[in-house]
Amino acid sequence: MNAMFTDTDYQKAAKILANTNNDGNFYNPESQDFIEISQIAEFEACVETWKTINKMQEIQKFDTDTAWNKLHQRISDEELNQFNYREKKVIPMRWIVGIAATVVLLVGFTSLWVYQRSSNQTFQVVNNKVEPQKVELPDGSNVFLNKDAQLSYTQSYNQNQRNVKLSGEAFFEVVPNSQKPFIVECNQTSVKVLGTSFNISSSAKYTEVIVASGRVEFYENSSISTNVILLPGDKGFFSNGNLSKITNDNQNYLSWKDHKLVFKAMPLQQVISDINQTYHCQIEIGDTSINNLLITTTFNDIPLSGIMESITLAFNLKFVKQTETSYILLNK
Amino acid sequence: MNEQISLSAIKNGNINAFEELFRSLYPPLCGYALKILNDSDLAEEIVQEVFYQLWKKKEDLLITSSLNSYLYKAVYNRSLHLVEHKQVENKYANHVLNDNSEIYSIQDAMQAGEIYQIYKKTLSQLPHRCRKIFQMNRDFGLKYNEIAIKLSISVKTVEADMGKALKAFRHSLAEYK
Repeated sequence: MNAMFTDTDYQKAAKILANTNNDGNFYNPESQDFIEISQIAEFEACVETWKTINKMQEIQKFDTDTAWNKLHQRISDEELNQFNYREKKVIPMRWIVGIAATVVLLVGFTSLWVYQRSSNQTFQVVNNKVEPQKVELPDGSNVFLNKDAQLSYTQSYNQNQRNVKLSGEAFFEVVPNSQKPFIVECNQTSVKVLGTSFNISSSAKYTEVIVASGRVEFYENSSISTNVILLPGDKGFFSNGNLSKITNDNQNYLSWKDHKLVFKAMPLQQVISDINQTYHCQIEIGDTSINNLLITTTFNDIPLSGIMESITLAFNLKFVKQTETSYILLNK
Repeated sequence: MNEQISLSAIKNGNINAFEELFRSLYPPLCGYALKILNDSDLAEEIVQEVFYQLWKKKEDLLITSSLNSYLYKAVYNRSLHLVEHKQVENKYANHVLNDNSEIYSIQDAMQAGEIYQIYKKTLSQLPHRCRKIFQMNRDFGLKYNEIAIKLSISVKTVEADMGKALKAFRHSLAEYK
């Protein structure tokens, strides 16, 4: 540091440096009238400082906040999965123990438990998470459970036939086996297949079956002869004791599983309803004048935030978060 | 935070200590990876992966040197690995592989990291208006007169604050080149 270099000198130096391009040619001493011989060393030190500042600005450009949020999310997801995984591994222990009075604490997001009934164990899986949960059955067939769906099967599964029970919504990919029919019991109805893929959505009041591939037999449990045969593109519907077959006009029936949404000139109101079902959120349209805006687009596994950004940009709308899962959509 | 404390806190699963470490080292580590890879997105990806692995393996982590140098080394190794497997379209790739000791030295990168901490600290200690003016000029490339108009102040004030900022950095960064 140099005592000869006053605050005014730093101002002059800063002015020269700040108005020079960052190409390394910081100054031409001949054009700088203020620099005296005794000040050159300090001025050159200022040039070095300035170069360092420029380097630091290159580093500073990296967005730490965004990166941290991303990493933090990844870590949380991971820890959640591990937690669920550990919990599942507890099950065989239960079989071994059996002697001591055991208290099984089921805490968390996915619960799977086993109980004994006339030496025929029942396996039950409940998906309490927002993300679909995949269950692999002993014969290799896969079931994807939507949020709140519950699937159960017994140890005799795959002996003579493949029986499961479902409540809620699930997508089935059944391994073909003509010797052992695959039967899903759901409310008062059943779906019987030999090997195919289909979606079942149910509540206490109705059961709906949509076929993706293959052939499906959909019948009422009380009278097996009351049945409909469903082929790809068909939808079977049961409610109030009535069984019917119609053409499926909902392209997005599997969006809860793969987050793929297709809209063809669809009114915003319907679009939002599909989004709500897919992402398990509650978006409300706060402005009836925008209910019927027509939307044609495809979203392939885009996060909710990305979808809403596209829609709000396209129609000049405002998307406001209210709670963790509820939002309101307004005209700007 | 003391490095030893931060390592043992992280080993104990203290996410706040981990976040603090991440925030202080993320930009310089990215800068280092960028130098080797010549691709910002890849650089960020690699640094995030290194931190992710650190957290994942925190319990059985054996660090003989310092946590800092461990992280720089990890970023270096991963970046070099990418270059070697030609996953990076880098016209300097050969250069990196043949002569990586000099330009990509971990020591230099760590020093840049230290300088960055001092830079951030100095910046945060500048008076509010002075910092704002400095950032408008350096981060956004605004000229003195443009800053004066935007902040409704005189060009003289801008000059004075820029001088003040330069002096502060000159003093705090005096030991480093």
